[in-house]
Amino acid sequence: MKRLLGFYIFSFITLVLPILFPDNYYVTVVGLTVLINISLAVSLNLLMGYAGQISLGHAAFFGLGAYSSAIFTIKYGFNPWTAIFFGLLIVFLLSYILSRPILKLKGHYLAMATLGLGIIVHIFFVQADEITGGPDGISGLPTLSIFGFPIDTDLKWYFIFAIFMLITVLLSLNIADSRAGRALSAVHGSEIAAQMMGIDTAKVKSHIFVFSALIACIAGSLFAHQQNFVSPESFSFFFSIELVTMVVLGGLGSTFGAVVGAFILSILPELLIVFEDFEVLIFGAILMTIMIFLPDGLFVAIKNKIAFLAFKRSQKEVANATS
Amino acid sequence: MPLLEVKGLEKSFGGLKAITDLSFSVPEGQIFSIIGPNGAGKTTLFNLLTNIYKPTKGSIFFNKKDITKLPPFKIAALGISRTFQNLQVFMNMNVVENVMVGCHLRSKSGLFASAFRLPSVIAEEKRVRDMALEALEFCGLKDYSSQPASALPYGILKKLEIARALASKPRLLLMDEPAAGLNDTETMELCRLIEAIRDSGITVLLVEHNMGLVMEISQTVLVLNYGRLLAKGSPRDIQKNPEVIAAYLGEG
Ligand SMILES: Nc1ncnc2c1ncn2[C@@H]1O[C@H](COP(=O)(O)OP(=O)(O)O)[C@@H](O)[C@H]1O
Ligand SMILES: [Mg+2]
Repeated sequence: MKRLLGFYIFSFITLVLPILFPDNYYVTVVGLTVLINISLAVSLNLLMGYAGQISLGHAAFFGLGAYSSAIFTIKYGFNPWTAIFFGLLIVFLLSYILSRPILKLKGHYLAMATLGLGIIVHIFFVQADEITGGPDGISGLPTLSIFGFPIDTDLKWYFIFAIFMLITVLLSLNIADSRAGRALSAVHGSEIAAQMMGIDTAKVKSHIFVFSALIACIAGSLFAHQQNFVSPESFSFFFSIELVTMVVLGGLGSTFGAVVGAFILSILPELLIVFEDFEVLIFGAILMTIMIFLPDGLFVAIKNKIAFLAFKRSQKEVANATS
Repeated sequence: MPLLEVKGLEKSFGGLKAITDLSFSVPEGQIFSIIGPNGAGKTTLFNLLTNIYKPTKGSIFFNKKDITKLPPFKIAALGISRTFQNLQVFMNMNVVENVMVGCHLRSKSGLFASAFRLPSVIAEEKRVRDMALEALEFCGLKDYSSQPASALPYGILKKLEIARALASKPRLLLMDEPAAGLNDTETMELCRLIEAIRDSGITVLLVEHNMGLVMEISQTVLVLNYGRLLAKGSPRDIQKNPEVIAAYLGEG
């Protein structure tokens, strides 16, 4: 119960918001972007924050999920759920085959390889116009139904995205507190020591790469159905970088850090619209300031501060009790 | 029957021969020390035994099994663990989590089971935590269990590496300069700890510069010089060996 207290509070807030403010632009429009970005950032954090393996190509798996749903439903007439399954199969095979050779690389080389993956997939979306519709993309996905219940309003989509996001967060929290999660942190901390403790580091890295890709893939399928439209822009290299920024901004290695990072980075542009031309400038300045003064990330820095204060207070109580 | 057997081992780094034609065997149940000047090849030998470096020549047998070509994680699974000269503590975890990683081989939940926190995972977590606490207690670190590793002094981190290695219940423990950087009291404690480890049935392969410690607790001492075996014998024989005195002991 205590382990997941934060999660329960977070779930409550997420699910109550749309009930209280069903017509609020920030909840049902911006909210959808926030929710999908949180799922993506949390999944990327599994690889980047837990295992310490950077990926600059996460948007590729998000895009493959979205395009699979669009292509298999519209071009080939499959049921949306079958299309989602095909997407998962494709992403599973691709990420599994690529994971071992790519994750043998370290540091800058790994960054370059994942960057390359992202760019190649993006070029495929743009160039293979017979399949992908080229730069214009594909529109007109069928409505997704769950047990015959059609998801056809923004409010309904909010709940679907929210539940998916909460599941992602829960899985991520579970992994952190487990043998698998510790193996990932060990790889992050010292790969040699991890191997000496009997961890098959290549396997562990490969598994989390696939797992994180599959979450991004489902997010992509849901996103495509909600938007009713896919185009290459949404899955570009820039979006991959944005996801990395979210993870780092909130605090590498912390699930709620990724949540906070994704939240800020999705909300901030909306709030900064009032500055018109200076929007991007101020956006950049805020990011720089946070990273300079809180290099551990916003969420992690605040959490550590609170833990430190609690520690000092308990020390004081001990001192009072003994005097 | 020896627990570890090294035959004709050789390692070159480019032109430099760090280990040359090295053969020896380690009987089960001993504290077996390896000494020699800096650069003699002691750490390289440990890295060869755990296959972090690939040998240029030669073979290594553990418990009669050829482990020369096995990856480090499989060698660990056979029952060899180690500590490192340059600390390799997981600084991103707290003390008990570090040691819980040491229990990796004694538990089995995979990524999927962990993500969905199946009932088997919950039971295993508790078991693993208890095993880790036991190893911490053995090393006198129980009070530190919830501290972040990054906040601890050097002496504690060195013990933490030992606890982590012990948590995997190895048959052979390699320790690379465990006393380096410790004060006299800490060295005394370490001495007792290494003996306790041996008494619990674990064979210890010890690289150490502190001659007092080595001569006090070892059953066998092997002297390396420029990657070659210079002498091997009981602490008493080694201390009397003129070649060893000339090459190593005499200088200090
Ligand atoms: N990875 C490496 N690459 C090149 N040379 C190395 C490497 N590791 C060790 N050496 C060299 O091998 C020799 C033995 O080093 P080492 O095993 O660390 O000695 P010791 O632990 O006995 O002090 C030294 O000359 C060292 O420079
Ligand atoms: Mg050394």
